[in-house]
Amino acid sequence: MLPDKTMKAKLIFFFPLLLLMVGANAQTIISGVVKDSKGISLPGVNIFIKDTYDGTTSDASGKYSFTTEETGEKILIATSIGFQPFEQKITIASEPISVSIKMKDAISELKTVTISAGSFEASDEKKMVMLRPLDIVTTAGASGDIYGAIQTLPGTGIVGEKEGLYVRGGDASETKTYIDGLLVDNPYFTSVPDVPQRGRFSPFLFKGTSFSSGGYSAQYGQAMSSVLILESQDLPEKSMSNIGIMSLGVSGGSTKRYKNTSIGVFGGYTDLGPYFALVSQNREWENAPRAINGSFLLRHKTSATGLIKAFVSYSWNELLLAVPDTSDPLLLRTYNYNLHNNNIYSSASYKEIVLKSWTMNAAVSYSDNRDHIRVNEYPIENKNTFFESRLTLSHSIGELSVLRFGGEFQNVKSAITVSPVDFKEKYSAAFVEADIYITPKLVSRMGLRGEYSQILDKTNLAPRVSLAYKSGEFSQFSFAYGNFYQVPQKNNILNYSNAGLSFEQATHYIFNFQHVSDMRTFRIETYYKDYNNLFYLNSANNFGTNTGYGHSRGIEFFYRDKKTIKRADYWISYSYLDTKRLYNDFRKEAMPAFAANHTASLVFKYFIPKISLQPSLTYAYSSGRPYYNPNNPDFLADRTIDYHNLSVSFSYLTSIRKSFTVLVFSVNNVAAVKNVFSYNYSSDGSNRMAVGPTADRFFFIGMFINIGSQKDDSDKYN
Amino acid sequence: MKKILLIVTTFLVSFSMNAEDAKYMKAMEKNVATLDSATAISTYSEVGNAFERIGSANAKEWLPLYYQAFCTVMIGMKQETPSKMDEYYDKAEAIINRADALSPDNSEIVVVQSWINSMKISVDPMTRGQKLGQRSGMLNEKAIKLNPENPRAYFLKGSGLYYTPANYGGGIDKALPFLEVALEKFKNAKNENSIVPHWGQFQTEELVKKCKKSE
Repeated sequence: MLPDKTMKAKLIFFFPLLLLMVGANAQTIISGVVKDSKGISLPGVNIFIKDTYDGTTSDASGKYSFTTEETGEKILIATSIGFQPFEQKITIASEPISVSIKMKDAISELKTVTISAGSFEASDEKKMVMLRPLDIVTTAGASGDIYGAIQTLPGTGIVGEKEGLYVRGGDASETKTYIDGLLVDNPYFTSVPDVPQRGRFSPFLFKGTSFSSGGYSAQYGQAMSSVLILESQDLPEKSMSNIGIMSLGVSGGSTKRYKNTSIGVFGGYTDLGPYFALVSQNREWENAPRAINGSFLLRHKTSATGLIKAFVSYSWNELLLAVPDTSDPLLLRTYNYNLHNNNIYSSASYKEIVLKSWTMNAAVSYSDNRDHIRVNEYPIENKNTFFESRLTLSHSIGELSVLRFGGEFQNVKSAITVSPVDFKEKYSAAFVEADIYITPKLVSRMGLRGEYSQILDKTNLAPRVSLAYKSGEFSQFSFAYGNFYQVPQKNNILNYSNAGLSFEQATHYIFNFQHVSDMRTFRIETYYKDYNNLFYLNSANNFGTNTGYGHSRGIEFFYRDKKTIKRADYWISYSYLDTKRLYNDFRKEAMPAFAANHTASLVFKYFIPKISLQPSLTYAYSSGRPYYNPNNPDFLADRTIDYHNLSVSFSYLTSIRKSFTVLVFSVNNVAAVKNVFSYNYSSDGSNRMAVGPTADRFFFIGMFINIGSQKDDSDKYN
Repeated sequence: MKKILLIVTTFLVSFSMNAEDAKYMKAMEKNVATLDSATAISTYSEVGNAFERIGSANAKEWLPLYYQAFCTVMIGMKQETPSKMDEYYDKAEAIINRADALSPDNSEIVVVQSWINSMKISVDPMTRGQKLGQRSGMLNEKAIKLNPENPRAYFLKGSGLYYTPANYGGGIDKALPFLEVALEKFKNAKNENSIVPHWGQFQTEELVKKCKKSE
């Protein structure tokens, strides 16, 4: 069949159309200049018409020019790393088009201000932080203890005879430790007279550590001075095991990674006996400390964004120490202090994104701590249980702002045989907090925390406000104000009737400036802390009231430099503290025994790649601290000598049968300086004994082997 | 009549589709060729931008994204400050992950993912070595498993070992066997066209020379 004429006509009609599609259209020139928000020309920007190949890259002076065959309404796009994509509608006719492009800074972690007043953060994930988690492990003198490493930061005092963080003129009880948002009731091993204890938790358990010396978020309470916020590790990348052989004992652990789950088991045994037999000690140990611990970790990914974490840890430790008896005027007689401790800490948390922009975090913890103490044969049983549940909801608003609210409940029970009554507390709190970014360079955090304590039958309402302004590429100013409440200490409530007692309270004012670049960090912070309603014991009638008070003020510097000396990294911190208080059994307002006017430390780490050796040193200094002298009518007017401590450590990195291995040798107080922390006086005041470190020097040798799974599980997980 | 209209329309559509394909091939060929001889940061930036444009107009193709990520890493390596490097590596990772979503279990894409992780380690080896090292290693193994004939997967493994000190389980004697396998695979590689990934042979040869010199 032949096509008729109309068909031919139609085909003829199609041909020019076809030619039109193949043939070249008229070309239009599009040109202009690209600048950033400050008006500086931007080279390397990609400028193009959406959904076409037509476009170009801006030259060194920010100019661009390209031709296009497109016509009509189109969208011109400009993109560049570090900037928000630029889009503009243009109408292309035959005339050349000129478009000036102004690129806005992308919202990125580096360009966004963060709330920094009072806070020191160690994180692998965030970019501009003061410390990395590894810094904590490799700080000489810290002996792998989180609290030891935190003591090299400004704001913390050096108190060598007791455990705990003494922050800005605050007692150790004013600093609380939180793991994944949950308060830890017994973060240290049980206190022993004049022997400082370590933290219970290994720094390797955590991916992030945030130490706040004041002005912290409304999410945290029951700490008048400071909080240490620890965030536990997520799902590990793959299965692995580790073994540690130390001069003090052995440790080991293994983590098995499944598709969405990981299970980890860790354990350790330490015995200081053999070490004490070799190196003489300043304390009379009848039985050197021994400890066994074991823990179990579970991580389970419930979805792309949901994660369940569970942690159970058990530890047992025992020691027997002869402690000078102050009732002997010559201080020659001793009494036996025997401690058996059993501790269980367990926690579980679940985090998930619900309804798009809401994140839910639910967590519970339970801990049980039992001390069986014998003072000469006199037994003291101390039993504490602590339960906490917590729910936090956070809602992101826009790209940066966040609204958070939530609540927590704690049930605390404590019984000690020397006290006729038990301590029973039910504590509940609710908080709401908003981080509002007015611009990426200016943020305000406003929070409110309300608390109810059943044992006091009192409530409080604590407002908290922070402001931060980014003044330059690397610098920012920050201000914080807040009210912080705390239930008086357990023993004060137990020993002196709680009738009429109320919350102790502190108000913080903090001003901070910091300059953080890749290789250098400088930070200066000044503060004023006002204490009110502190527990005060009237010695005349032995009656406790909330009539104590006090204040702290000071200025602190921190400087970290990884640049000036090649392969070296060091930080210097200095704190000036002026504090006085009237609390507990103080006779008058005085500087407390745990405070020092000047505290400084230098941490220096160096790496020699040729021999894979990392030598590191820490020097710590503190001016003399007040001590109680019964013969001086002026209360707490005496000062100890200044404190000096130089610690060194050497880490040698190697591999044993393909397994990454670290050998560590460290000496604490190399120069064996005879430091004095305080004095113990006989009850009649006729004799005294200096309380110094438990040994002149402390040596440590250890070998840590990381055995990575040789089996390749990669296809299962990716 | 209707039949003819149908034929003509089909012809027009297929012609324009082929024209699109041809345009894509032409643009890719031109830019891949420029990339093959690129050394200057400005060239990587220009070519990278061109791949971004091609990619945005061809939302289903993984190769433009693959090359855009590649260029982004190359620019990142030439940055002077760690935070700048990170900015590029993070961006490159986001781009290659988009390619991965378009073409899952693609050995070439996984090689670049592994490579980006090792570049991130080089910014701060002390802090990142352990975690990202595992991730990079796992991705490298995965790339080999997905395509045991991919020479770039062996090159990456070999160069990773080359730059790892012997104390940490690396070293020249460990690197060389992988580099030699890579060379062998490069020689036997049959590329279906000129735009599929084909880089790495020169770099492998240079590294082998370096290895042999120090032995």
